[in-house]
Amino acid sequence: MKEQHATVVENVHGAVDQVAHAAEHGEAHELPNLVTVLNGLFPEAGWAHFLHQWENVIFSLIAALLICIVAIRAARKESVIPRGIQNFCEFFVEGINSFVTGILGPQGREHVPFLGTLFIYILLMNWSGLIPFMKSSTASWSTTIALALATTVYVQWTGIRAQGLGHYLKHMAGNPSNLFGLALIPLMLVINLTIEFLAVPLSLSLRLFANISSEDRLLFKFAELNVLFKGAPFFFQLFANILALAFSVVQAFVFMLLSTVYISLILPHEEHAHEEHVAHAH
Amino acid sequence: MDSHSVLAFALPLGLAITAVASAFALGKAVAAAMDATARQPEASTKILVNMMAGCALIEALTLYALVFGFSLMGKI
Repeated sequence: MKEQHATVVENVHGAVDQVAHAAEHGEAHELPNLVTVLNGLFPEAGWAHFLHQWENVIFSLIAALLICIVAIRAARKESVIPRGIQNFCEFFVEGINSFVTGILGPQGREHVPFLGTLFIYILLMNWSGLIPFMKSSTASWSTTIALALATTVYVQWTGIRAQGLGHYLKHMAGNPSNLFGLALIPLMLVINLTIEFLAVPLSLSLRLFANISSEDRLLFKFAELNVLFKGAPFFFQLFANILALAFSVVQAFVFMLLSTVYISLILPHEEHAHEEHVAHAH
Repeated sequence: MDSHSVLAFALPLGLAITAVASAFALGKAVAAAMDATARQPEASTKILVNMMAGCALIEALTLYALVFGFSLMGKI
C-alpha cells in the first residue's frame, strides 16, 4: 500500500515536472505544426532540431513572403478599373488609409505604410495558427517583442523628426516652465523614459502574445478533448475556431490602433489645434 | 505553508479576481456602447469598432494575469 502510494506520488511529480519542462520550453501547448512533426519523425537529425529552434522565424517569414507575393502580383498589372486581386488590395489599403488619416489627420498619410504592414503581417501570423501544420508566430513572445520594439523605435524616431531634438527632450523632461518644473526634471525624465521605452513595448507585446497563445492553447485543449471523447465536443471546437478567427482580427487591429495613438500622442499638438480652429470656422 | 502550496492557492485566486474585475469593466463598456447605439443607431459600426478596441484593452489585463499564472505554474 505504502509503495503504491509512493509510486503515485512519483508519477504525479513526474507529470508536474513534464508540464514545467514544457512550459519552460514553450512547447506541447499548441497543435503540432510542420516543424514539430518533422522533428518528431527525425528526432536524431541535426537539421530537424535546427528547424525546430527557428520555427517562429520560419512561419513569420512564410507570412512575409505571402504578403510580398500578393503585393507584387497585385501591383504588376496596373489598371484604372481595378479587378480581382488588385481590387482586393486596394480595398484593404483604402480602409487602412482612411482609418489612420482619421486619427492622425491628413499629414498622417506617411505613417500608413508602416501601420498597414503591421496590421496585415500580424493578422496573417495570427490566422496561420488555424491552418493545419502551420503555427502562429505571434504565439511566442520573441516575435511580439520584436514587433513592439520596432514600433517603439519608429514612434520615438517620428517624435524626434517631427518635434526636433530639443523640443523632444523638453517634452521628455516634462516641459519645465518655472523653477519647480526644473526641480522635477529628474522625476519626469524617469517617468517618461519608463513609460515610453518599457511600458509601451511590454504592454504591446504581452497583449498580443497572451491573446494569441491562449487562443492556441484553447484550440489545442479542444482538439485533445475531441480525441479523448471521439469527436463529441466538435461544436465547441468550431466555436473556438470562430472565436480565434474574430479575435485574431481584433488583436491585429488593436496593435495598429495603439501604434497610431502613440504616434498621434508624440506628434506636436499645434497642428491639431489649428485643424480644430479650421473646423470651427466652417 | 511552503511556497508551493501558497502558489497553488494564489494562482487560481489571482486569476479569478482579475476575471471578476475585467467582467465588471467589460460590462460597463458594453452597457455604455449599447446605450450609445440605442441613441444613435446610424453610428453603430463606429461605436462597435471603438467598443471592440476598448474591450480588447480591458481583456489584455486579464491575460497578463494568465501569462504570469502560466509562468509561475512551473514553480509549483
